[in-house]
Amino acid sequence: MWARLLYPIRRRTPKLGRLLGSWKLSIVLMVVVAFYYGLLAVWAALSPPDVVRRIASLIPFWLVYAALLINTGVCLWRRLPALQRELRMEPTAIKTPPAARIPTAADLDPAHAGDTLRELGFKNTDEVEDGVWGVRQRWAPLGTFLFHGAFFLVMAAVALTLLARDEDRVWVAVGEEYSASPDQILGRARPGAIWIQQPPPRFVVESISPEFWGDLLLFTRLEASLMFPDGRREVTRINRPLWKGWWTFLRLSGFGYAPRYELTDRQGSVIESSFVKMRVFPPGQRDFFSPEAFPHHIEVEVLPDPDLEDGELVNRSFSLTSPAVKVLVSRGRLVLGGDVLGLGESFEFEGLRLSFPEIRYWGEFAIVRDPGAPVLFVGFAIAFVGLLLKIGGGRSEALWVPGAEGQTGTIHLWGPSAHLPDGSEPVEGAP
Amino acid sequence: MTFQFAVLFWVTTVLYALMVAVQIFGLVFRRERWIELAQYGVLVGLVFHTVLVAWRWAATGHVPTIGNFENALVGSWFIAGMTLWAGWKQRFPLLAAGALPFALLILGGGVLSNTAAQPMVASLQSFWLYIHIFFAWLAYGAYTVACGAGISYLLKSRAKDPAPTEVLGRIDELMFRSTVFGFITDSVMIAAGSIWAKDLWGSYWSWDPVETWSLLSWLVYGLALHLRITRGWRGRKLAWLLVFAIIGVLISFWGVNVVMEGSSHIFNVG
Repeated sequence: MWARLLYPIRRRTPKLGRLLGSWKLSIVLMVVVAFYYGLLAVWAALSPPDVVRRIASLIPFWLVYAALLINTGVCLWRRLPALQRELRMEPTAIKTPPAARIPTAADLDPAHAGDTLRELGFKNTDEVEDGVWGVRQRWAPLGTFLFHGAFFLVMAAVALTLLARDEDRVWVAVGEEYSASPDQILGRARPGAIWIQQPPPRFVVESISPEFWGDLLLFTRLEASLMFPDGRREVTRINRPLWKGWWTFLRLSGFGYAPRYELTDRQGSVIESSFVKMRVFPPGQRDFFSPEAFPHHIEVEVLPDPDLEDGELVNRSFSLTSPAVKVLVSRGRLVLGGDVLGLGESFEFEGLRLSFPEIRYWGEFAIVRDPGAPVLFVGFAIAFVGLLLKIGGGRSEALWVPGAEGQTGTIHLWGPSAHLPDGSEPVEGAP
Repeated sequence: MTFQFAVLFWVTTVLYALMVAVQIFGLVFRRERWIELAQYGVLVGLVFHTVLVAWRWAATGHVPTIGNFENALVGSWFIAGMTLWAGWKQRFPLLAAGALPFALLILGGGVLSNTAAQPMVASLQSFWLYIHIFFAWLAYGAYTVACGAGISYLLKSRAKDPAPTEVLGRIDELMFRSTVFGFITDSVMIAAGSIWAKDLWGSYWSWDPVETWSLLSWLVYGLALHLRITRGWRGRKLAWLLVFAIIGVLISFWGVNVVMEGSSHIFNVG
């Protein structure tokens, strides 16, 4: 009964297999993807990357990727027996008409025919029934196989990234410890999506060193030195993340100024003191903070390298050499005044003295957990190996057949016409 | 750009333009000798071009990779070099007339942008930058050669007075092999760029306009290869496809940054 029920499926399977593994389907699907990407490219011109990213993750894209993967998979599966034969050093092309021929000397014997084939580039030779056979670019078919097979890993990586990528953004000042407590995390992309947990890295920021090109806002260096709980000190740069496990990495993505304010009473006793990480970089930007115990609003602008030019306060560079802080203090709608303070100088208002004894850098760190990244890199590595195997061109075969007594022998050649040796005569009507 | 540098730049550009004109003249008036001689002119231009690249490198202290001008300078050097090499190897000097106009176009676009030296900013100080752009130049050079060969094929295979089959066969082979080489180097370029993007932006793919156009170009060339290998597309059909496919390359290398803002790709600078 089961046999009868399954018969229609079994009958159609070869047809379905032929359709799914057909070159025509590959080309149709590639045209569809090219059309989709064309639309996406036009969209990219009109919309921000976020919108484009969302469009690129829509179901029609996934459907066509899935169809392409099925098509590739079936093609590779159907090609597998031929690939095995080719890699086993079996002549595979000699059943088809050759592409070219080379006549050889009448007295050439099988031992020397092998040398002749090797001189023509057919390094692997073997004596067969008809004569001496040789192959060039033996591993090239495996290259095609690996290159296309790598797409499965690339797509798996993309899917893993979409499902499980997680990114925390934290601001940590020099001297501060990041202990991964939730109140330290400023922003989390895709909260709760992680299903492959890895412990978050903990570290203390020892230093942050930005360097600028002249007086322009162009970084020639931006790095942070971090101390980890195991006592290791590591440096991360803006383009060199630190890997903390298989798929977790920590990268420095920005920085800013963290002035320490001090509020004292008229007798000089410190009432309140704290670092505030502010968005006051680049100079000219203003940010504000409010002391914990007082209702004041303190607006701050940091001048990292101030100078007086024609009575005007200007900034010479972005380097934090002798910084000053421009403050404006208000309470509710009442502006209480402001001043430009050097480090340690104070501004007095309503019985309080405000000063900034030091300014440190804070760094913005992104802690990214992306299980897709290592899979992607393995996929790239496999694709690269595949390309390397293919770079010398396609596989070609040669067969030396001895002539009859006193007659010249012939080397028959199969393979891409571009790799036919000089002096070969193309065969009329060859593919 | 100093005065001396500017003089050499314009001498090189004019020399290339002149040689293209000479080759077109040779093609129209059937002066094969002129076409061959023009190839030597391109060689002289390439020597000047090499001096320009080395000069810029020495002046800025880094490989010329920053900003539109430097990318145009080196990108067009690769196009000219690969055109000359392929033309020599395939005994097909007319290739320069098909491919060099793209180098001229890129050089023209580059010189219209900011030509002042830019520093190697922190985000670009990466080993992956060199891998990424080296393979990008190789890929774009190869695609331009393929397009140039395609244009030459279309000119040489006109129904009225077609060139001998042997010549057309060689051009056809050149189109195919340049596309294969371009596709391989393009794949490496995209992979290297993706690894670098992960280091720099925390994500290996972000659908930036340049990324989108690059992927589209890669796919179109992949399609061209599949059509050739599986459907036997040769000759004029393949030539037309390669001539149109270069549009994607030009847009991803140059057009995206001219037409739209918001790309994170650094040849935006300038």
